[in-house]
Amino acid sequence: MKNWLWIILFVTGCQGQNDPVVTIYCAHDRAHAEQILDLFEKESGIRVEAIYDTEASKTVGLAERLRAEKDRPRCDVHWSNEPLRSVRLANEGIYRTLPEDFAPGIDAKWRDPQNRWCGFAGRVRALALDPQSPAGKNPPTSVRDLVNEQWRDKVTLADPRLGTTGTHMAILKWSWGEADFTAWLQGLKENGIRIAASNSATRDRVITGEVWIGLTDTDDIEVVRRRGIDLGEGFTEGDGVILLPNVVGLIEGSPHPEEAEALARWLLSPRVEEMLAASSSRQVPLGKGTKVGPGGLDLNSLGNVMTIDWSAAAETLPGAIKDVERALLDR
Amino acid sequence: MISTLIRTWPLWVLLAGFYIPVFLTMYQDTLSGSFSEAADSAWSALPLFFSTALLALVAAFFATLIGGIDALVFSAFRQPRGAFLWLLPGLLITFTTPPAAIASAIQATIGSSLLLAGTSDELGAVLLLTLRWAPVAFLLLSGLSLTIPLAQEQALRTLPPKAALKLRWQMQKPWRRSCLLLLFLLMLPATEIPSYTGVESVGRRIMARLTIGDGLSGWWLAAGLILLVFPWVIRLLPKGLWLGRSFQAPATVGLPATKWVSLWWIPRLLPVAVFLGVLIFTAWPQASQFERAVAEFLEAIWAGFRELPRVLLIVAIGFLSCWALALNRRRKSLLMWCLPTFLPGSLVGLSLATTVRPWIPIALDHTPLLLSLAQVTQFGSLAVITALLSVWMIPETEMKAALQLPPGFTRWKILLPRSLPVLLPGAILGMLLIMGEVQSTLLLAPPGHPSPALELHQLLHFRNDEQAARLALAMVVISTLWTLFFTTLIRRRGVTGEE
Repeated sequence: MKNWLWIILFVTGCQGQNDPVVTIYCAHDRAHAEQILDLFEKESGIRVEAIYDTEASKTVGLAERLRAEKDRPRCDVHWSNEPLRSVRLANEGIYRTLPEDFAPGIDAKWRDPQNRWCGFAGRVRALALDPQSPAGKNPPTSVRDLVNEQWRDKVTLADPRLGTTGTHMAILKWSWGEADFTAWLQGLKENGIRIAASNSATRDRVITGEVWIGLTDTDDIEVVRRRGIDLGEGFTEGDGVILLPNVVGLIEGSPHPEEAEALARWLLSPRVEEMLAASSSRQVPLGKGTKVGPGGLDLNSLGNVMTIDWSAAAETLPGAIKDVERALLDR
Repeated sequence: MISTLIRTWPLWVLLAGFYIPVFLTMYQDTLSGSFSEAADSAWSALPLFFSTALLALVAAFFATLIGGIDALVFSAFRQPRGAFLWLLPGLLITFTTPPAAIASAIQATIGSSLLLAGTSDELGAVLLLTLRWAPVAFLLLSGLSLTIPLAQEQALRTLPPKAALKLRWQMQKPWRRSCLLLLFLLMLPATEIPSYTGVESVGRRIMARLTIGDGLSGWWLAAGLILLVFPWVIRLLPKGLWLGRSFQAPATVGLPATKWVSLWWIPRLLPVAVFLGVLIFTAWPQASQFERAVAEFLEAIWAGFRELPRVLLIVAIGFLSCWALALNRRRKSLLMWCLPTFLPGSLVGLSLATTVRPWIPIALDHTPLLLSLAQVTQFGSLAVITALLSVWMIPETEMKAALQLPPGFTRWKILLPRSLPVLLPGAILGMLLIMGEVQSTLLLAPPGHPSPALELHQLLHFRNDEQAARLALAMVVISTLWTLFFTTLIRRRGVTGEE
């Protein structure tokens, strides 16, 4: 028996290390996030243990893991790629308040009024357009147009309950009200909208010409454009351009609070925003004075960006998801 | 008391890894959720149960048909020279490779249109599900065809090939029916493949409920799934004495040889060849990135091998538990082992993370203890099927003689080696499935824990196709090596005492 105890102590003891360490749950593109986290590790000397998210249609995501770990958190920093689920996590007491001096260059409209999370570098909800189709020549400027007869069977979107598409649906419901939103969903259904597995699958269906219009994110479009694929891009200025920032939250009761603050401070720095803006995910920097290179997207160039009450939009998320299920997914 | 605890050990793993955390979480969600909303949500999902069942039934039918023909051709004829090197690995590849890699390969070359099969999303889902599960039907039906009594098998080999083939097909019929039912049940909770084709399923609806924090609705839907599955699982589990049916030697003496066999195998393995071609083409790096790509590929293989000891332990616990229960004809306990498979892995993962994790010592937090516990229970059905088959494989005379011995180690010592020809391949299949498992891994793996399958999903999620293809190729290499290993084991150990 004693021998077994020694073995267990040895095995578990091997895990303990005295180096400073921080654990991050990250929903951003692994290829880009890894570079940023590696750089942080190199410059700060704090070892980063990262767990990256995967598609929520195959498994529930890291947000659910945070919820399940609430009683004894394992994660220090949450890097979410959309704000509504972060608002919900903050409201459930999973995030703690950020230090006052965090990210002074980022405007109040991209952060929590109670300072529990802060947005940075965002993506725009956009229309991927087949350049050879009528949609490429005369693109719709509002998602309301997608119910028009001319786009029958030619529009696709990712599973509208998940990821940024789910967030988009909740924002539309919050912005338009329930009646308009459900009528629009019904219109989409009648117009033969197709549901794809993810934003990238949505874009791919446009590339193959199966559909003309795909509702997706700017980073999904840019990543293939940089590989030389001809794909059109349109913003829904008629509704107000929807910009979804990445979000950083510090976990309440996390095991490494100091290291977590150091990492969060780094993530919210102009330097990281510039790196994300220059990457193939072409994020839009939100910090004042952050430089955007050629080919990048500048906040001021987006036109009519919708001002969103994140908290109110997050409230509509469960209802919006049930609405889209009833209208688009139930057969 | 202590002896009862020891005797019931196969159930303790299951209770700790599934039933206790699941019931506790369900209870908590019931307290915090709205009962009427959950009932309403489950009621409105009723048509979804029917459409999911229909999808699973059609896919199970085609998978059983293809697997049945595979098994028939495999067991009724002499195979081409050296076939064991390419035939079994080739047939199993679509099951042992994560579906994400296959879907991505299709998408990368032809676009998502093929996933939709050009006409309807459901057809695409049926095609992908069939492709994935046909190897399981093949394995099951081949395994069962080995239980044909020796005298009968020898008589079959003396018949003209056409007549023997017809007779074998007829003999396979009841097994095909059971196989169809089993595959139907295993496909019911499917979430991943329907998601690639945009088809809604009960499993996906459960995930969606969990992602908006509506746990109670998720549990109601899961309960619906279990209610649907339960009577059929009871029907599938055999009653009465599970006596051996004399395992056949896989000797080819007397089997007809025909060149027409290749006419089936060539078109059958064509999709596999195309899939491998696409993977290699996508993974092949530009000259400037060659070194990095080779390093990535080797690292992926190494990560797969690093997981082996843990995975080996998991299958050893699960499979030995079920084997012990099958040997003692514990039908109810086997039923309990089956049920976790029919729930999405995320539910179990979340339950363990919520209820058990706060109680385990912090020092164990850095170990994949809970992940392993979840995976032991998650593949319960595979362990049960393998255990039942492995008990059937034991020659009747040996089984009767062994049953005269008192239960315990002595009996095990005699019977376990006789079950190994089935237990080992089943366990290796289980190992490959665990290595491709994603749902509990995302929720329970400690930071830094290697998981090639999870990494593959992440890479595909962000369309890093080249890296993903390298990783998928590494997983194909690992699964092929293991398949070859168990093929060799069957070839060496498949001789019974009846010879």
